[in-house]
Amino acid sequence: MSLKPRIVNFEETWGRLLETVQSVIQLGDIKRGTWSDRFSDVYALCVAFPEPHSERLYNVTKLFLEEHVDNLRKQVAGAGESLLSQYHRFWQQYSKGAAYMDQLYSYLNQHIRKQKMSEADRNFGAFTDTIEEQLMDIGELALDIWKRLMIRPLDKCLQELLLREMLKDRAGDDTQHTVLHSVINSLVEVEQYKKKQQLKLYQDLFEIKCLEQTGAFYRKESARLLQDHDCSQYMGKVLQRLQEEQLRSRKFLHPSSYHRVLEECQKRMVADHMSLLHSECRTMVRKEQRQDLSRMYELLKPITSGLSIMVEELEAHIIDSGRQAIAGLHGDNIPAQFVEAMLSLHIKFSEMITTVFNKDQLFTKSLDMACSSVVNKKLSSKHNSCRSPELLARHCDALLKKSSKGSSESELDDRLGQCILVFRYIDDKDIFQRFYARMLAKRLIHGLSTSMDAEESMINKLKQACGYEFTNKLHRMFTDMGVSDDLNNKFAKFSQEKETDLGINFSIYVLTTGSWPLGQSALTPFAISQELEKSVRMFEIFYSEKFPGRKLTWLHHLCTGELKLNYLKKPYIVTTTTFQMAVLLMFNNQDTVQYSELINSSLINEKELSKTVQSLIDTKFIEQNHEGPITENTSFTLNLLYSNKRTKFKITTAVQRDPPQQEVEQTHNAVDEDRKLYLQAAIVRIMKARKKLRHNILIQEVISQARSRFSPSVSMIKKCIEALIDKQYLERTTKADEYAYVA
Amino acid sequence: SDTHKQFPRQNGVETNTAMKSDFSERKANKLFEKYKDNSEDAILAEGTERFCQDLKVSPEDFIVLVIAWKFQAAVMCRFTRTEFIQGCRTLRADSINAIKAKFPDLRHEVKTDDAMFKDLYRYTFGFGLDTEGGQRTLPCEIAIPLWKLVFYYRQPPILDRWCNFLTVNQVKGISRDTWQMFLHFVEVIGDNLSNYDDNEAWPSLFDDFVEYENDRLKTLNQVEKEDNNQEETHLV
Repeated sequence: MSLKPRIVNFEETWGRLLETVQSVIQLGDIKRGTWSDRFSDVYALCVAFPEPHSERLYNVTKLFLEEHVDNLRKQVAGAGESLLSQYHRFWQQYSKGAAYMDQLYSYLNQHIRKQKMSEADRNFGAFTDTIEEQLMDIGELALDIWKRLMIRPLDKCLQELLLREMLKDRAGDDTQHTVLHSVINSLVEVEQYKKKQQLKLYQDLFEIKCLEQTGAFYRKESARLLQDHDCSQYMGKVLQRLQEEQLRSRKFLHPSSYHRVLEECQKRMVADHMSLLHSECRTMVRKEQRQDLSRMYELLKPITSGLSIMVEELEAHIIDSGRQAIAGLHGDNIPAQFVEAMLSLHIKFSEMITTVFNKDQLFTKSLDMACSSVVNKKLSSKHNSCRSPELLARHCDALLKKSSKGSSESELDDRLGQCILVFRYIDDKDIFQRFYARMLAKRLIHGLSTSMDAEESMINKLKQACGYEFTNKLHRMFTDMGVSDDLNNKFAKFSQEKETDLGINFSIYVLTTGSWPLGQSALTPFAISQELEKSVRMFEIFYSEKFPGRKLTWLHHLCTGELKLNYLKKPYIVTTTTFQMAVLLMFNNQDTVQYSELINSSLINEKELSKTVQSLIDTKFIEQNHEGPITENTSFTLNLLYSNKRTKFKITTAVQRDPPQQEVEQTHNAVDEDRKLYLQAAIVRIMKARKKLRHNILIQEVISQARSRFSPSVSMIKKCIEALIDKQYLERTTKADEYAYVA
Repeated sequence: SDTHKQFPRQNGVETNTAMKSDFSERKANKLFEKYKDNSEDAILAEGTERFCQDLKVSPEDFIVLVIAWKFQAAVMCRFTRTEFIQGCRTLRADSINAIKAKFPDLRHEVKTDDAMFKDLYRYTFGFGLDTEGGQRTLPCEIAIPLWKLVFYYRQPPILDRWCNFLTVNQVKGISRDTWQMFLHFVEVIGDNLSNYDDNEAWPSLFDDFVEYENDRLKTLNQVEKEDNNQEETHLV
């Protein structure tokens, strides 16, 4: 067969073609050969000589299809009850047939496309819509005809029937799933070739009404459910309904409708009853009804800001439970109880948020807010301080101190990690740091730490949580201890080289001034006992040789000495304070010593000395020779009958169990001073960089810089600004409310 | 027309010379010598008192503050020779009577001219400060009388309440910044404390004052209400 254009008899060819086409559209059996011949016929008509018959072919084909569909419609319309299934049957056949026809006519389609392109070119892309209407691929044409001659005339009828079937399905009656799905989706498929608004027919004809009907149904349904059920049951039913509806839309509808239907149901059954649901939130949260809460969460989550009330309720509940737990603390070991309480609060509610609220960030955040609120609760509205930083520091101290309770390294590490969890919620981190530093100093100096590894690991944990600057001093304290060990070794070598026998074991710690929270104000004068003098001298020589220019201050009140008592039945080794040692050493040469002698030789001030002497009397090392208050003339005698079950022990001074209020106050005052300095430094830093700044912006910047350490009050910042104006670091500009940096 | 033009100019020159002749440095120096202290080249407390006596004003009179300001006296109760002579020159007066004659003008000026008053007000802080004693803040027992004095003609509605607040709360000192912001403060507040916004860059003492006043008014209102209630019950 030649592809060359030739004269073609249209009538005859169309006659042949029509026969095949009729069969194709009804999915009849067609032999391969026939198919190829008809395919060529289409080609021949399109390229016919002298004039191509393409337009004519298009028109007669269109006419044929229109007649065919019209015919089908009549059958459908007359089908009565089985209208939908009839429609479904025809559509299945027609849509497939149309697709085959499109293939059979593929040369004509090509031809039409070419024409469209050239016309589009001519029109510079304008009026493409009308052209598309005029000339479509045969497949498209077939669908368009179906739409015009089948769907349009029957639209009301189809709509009604479809909606009725949906309703039946909802009521639980049997429906023909496949028929419904096919009919509904035919509304989309028939428009699928379009470039835009593919879903318009589906939406206009069906979806809108369907949503309306769904809404109406669930409005009634939810009212009905609410009448017979309490909130908890209602939520259960609603969740069930929602699930059913989701299944239903997958069964019948086009995917674009899935979320719309779901939204409609949520609106009618959840959003419309929001205030009711919200009003139940409080009791559910307070009573921690997990199943209800989980249902409530599932229902409210998709609603815009639906969860906010629940989040608030949970936060309030956590705060209340936390405060109650904290307020209920009593008896011994409040610090440990406090940390335990905070921990169990946190564990309990984070578990709840994980299981009930799907780890939702909103709830996690509310837990954080609540914990922070509990931890930072002020003692009273007037009192501006909070005990948590101190309690936490004390708990850490207890954990890190040597104790009889042996716990494994990993256990200790876990517990310290738990402290960090509480620590993160503390606003006044600087107060914690002060207390922690004080206690760390005591542990290090008196060798009370359970393990240096644990100490270091805790400092590193704090560093991780709060930054290098925060733990700077703690680190220095820690390193001082290591450096001192080294110094002791070197000093021992030094004494050997000088061939000096110190006569005693002597070990020192050199502590960097400023890094250690050790006040020097409370120092009493002290004349060092003769026995120690050589060692002290030697060390001073050694140190000044090694580090010329450094100044050593002896903190005798922090030192301890070990004495061996040889005057009793058995020898004892006792650990004493330096002052106790000084007093006891006085008895080396005589058994009775007068108070005035003690004063003169030790130079210790009255308060400290009487305390020291009292501690020795209380522990029965010495006896006061006459009853009554101690005066200069009171004399003391060594108790030669002293005995103790243990041979190595420590002379206890009257240690107050609870820290004296004074110390706590001192710490708070020191923190206040630190804060002022910190704030002033921050203000100067900011202003130096910014030169000029509005009041409020400056306040904000300062607060954000300070946040990691403490939350400063605006009034404190203001006072610092004023102090800086007074010191002429800052001045007010001519603009009200603005400051400038004075270089 | 020429003569017309020339006349005022001539007049001007004449008054100028007349003014010049009003002031003689010699006479001013003589006046200074009259009150000068024996030990120092300055008029001190005793001299100032005599000076005031001759001017027929009390040393606590507002006009004395104005004179000190015009003379730019650095501290209270002390005029150095340069301050005094320069001050007389500014006033164009070299005798007690001439100075007295300037009083109405001086009073009028600070009463009506806002800029002049502001200058006087700012000057007053330094005037009260004992710089030789190393003072940086003005003790309240000095600040309060100075406030009352400097606002002699322009008393702000809240001044009494402010002074009361300072006394009751035993505020120690007033910084230069607080003193100077106070003028701005009274301008903004008027007699209504609700004009105050503590988010602005006010010195914190004003925050405290406004809080104190609001608390006081609240309790006052409560007491009044209770009183009213009691009256009502009596009536019944």
